[in-house]
Amino acid sequence: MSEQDFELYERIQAADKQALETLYERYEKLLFSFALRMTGRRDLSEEIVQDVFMKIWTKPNLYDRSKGKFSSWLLTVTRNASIDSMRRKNEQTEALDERDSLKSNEPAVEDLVQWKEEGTVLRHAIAQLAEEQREMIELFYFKGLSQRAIAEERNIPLGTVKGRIRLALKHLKGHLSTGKGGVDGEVRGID
Amino acid sequence: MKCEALIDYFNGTLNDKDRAAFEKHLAECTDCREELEELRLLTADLPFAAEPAEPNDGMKERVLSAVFAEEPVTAVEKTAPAPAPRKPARQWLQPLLAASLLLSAGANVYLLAQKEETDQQVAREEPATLAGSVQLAATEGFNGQAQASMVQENGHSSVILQANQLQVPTGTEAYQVWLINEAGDKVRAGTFNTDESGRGAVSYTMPSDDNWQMIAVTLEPTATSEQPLGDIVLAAEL
Ligand SMILES: [Zn+2]
Repeated sequence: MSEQDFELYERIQAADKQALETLYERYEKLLFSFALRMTGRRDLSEEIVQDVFMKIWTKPNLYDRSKGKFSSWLLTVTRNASIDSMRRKNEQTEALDERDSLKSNEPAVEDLVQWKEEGTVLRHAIAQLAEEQREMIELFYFKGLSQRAIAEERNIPLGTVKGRIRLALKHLKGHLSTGKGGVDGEVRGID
Repeated sequence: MKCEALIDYFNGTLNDKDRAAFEKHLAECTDCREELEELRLLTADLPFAAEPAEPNDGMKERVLSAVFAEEPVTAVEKTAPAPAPRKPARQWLQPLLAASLLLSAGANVYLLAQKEETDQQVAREEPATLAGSVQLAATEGFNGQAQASMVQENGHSSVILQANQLQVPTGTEAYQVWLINEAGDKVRAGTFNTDESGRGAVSYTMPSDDNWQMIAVTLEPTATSEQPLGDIVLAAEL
């Protein structure tokens, strides 16, 4: 899959519109859903996806293999664009509370097996975290707040923010490993 | 600016000065490098936690027409072929953190004067083959990145460098590309300016098949510097 992505990306470097359209179709839903998860707003999410593809179209050689898997890179670019967008609009949306309203029975894009496989497991694992740890991940990763803003939001000492984030992420990883054991029947490859 | 800036660095909330300072710290602090890598690993799957949502009605048409209304990637890019990479003519390695240090250690060495191609457009008579490419990373305190591609065509080797997100030169300033061999000799390999968004490109016919060890970009006070006078902005080992 990433081979195909890389081929498409190379064709885009030669200004191939068809290649960009194919790449767009492949990732539209994932990037839109991720941006929506971060911003909680459909209008901003469309702008963010547009920003990402605009960059790919107009800026040469943003991606190369040293940056890891193409899809991971694309998601990082989308996250950065989402953080920028939230900062620009200074939005304090509560995407976390809106999560339930965003539920959809749409099948995951067949192309993006990882999403389908991991999404449910991941959401389950996040739900298992203590409220405090869930909030740390929300504010740090999905809101992209500064350390100071997180400390203020959670009313905790600035110096403890980094440690709490790492702890929360490690707990999540721990829950994921347990989840992979198959308690809830989710099928995951053994890594 | 120490280890505690890691979170703000990851989230991009540092200003330019603090980011540069933290990147300097990162080069010296093993703990921070490991923690940064750990953060990347631990968060790599989180995007997939997003519930699948249907994109807005008509979104694809709106986005693509907005995107295609813009100029695509640079002219040099458009003519550059994208064939399956041939066996590399020489080993191209990833840029090392130490690149800029190595380069400054060889300051004031003898410099060969070279005839320079000023034409930034690459005219191609026959299909060129890509012999390899390398990413140039910004040195501490500078922004930007570049890709240098080695291209073989019509029996010559050329280096095509494309940079973006560079500081826009002011006055007579210009960016110059340098090739450095094992002896530390620096050879000019093209001059370029950037557009207002910090993008620039240059193509240069390699003076000889010397055993080049490094490629670097400096910001020179004028376009005519015969030896590097300005700061090294981008560098990579070859
Ligand atoms: Zn540190």
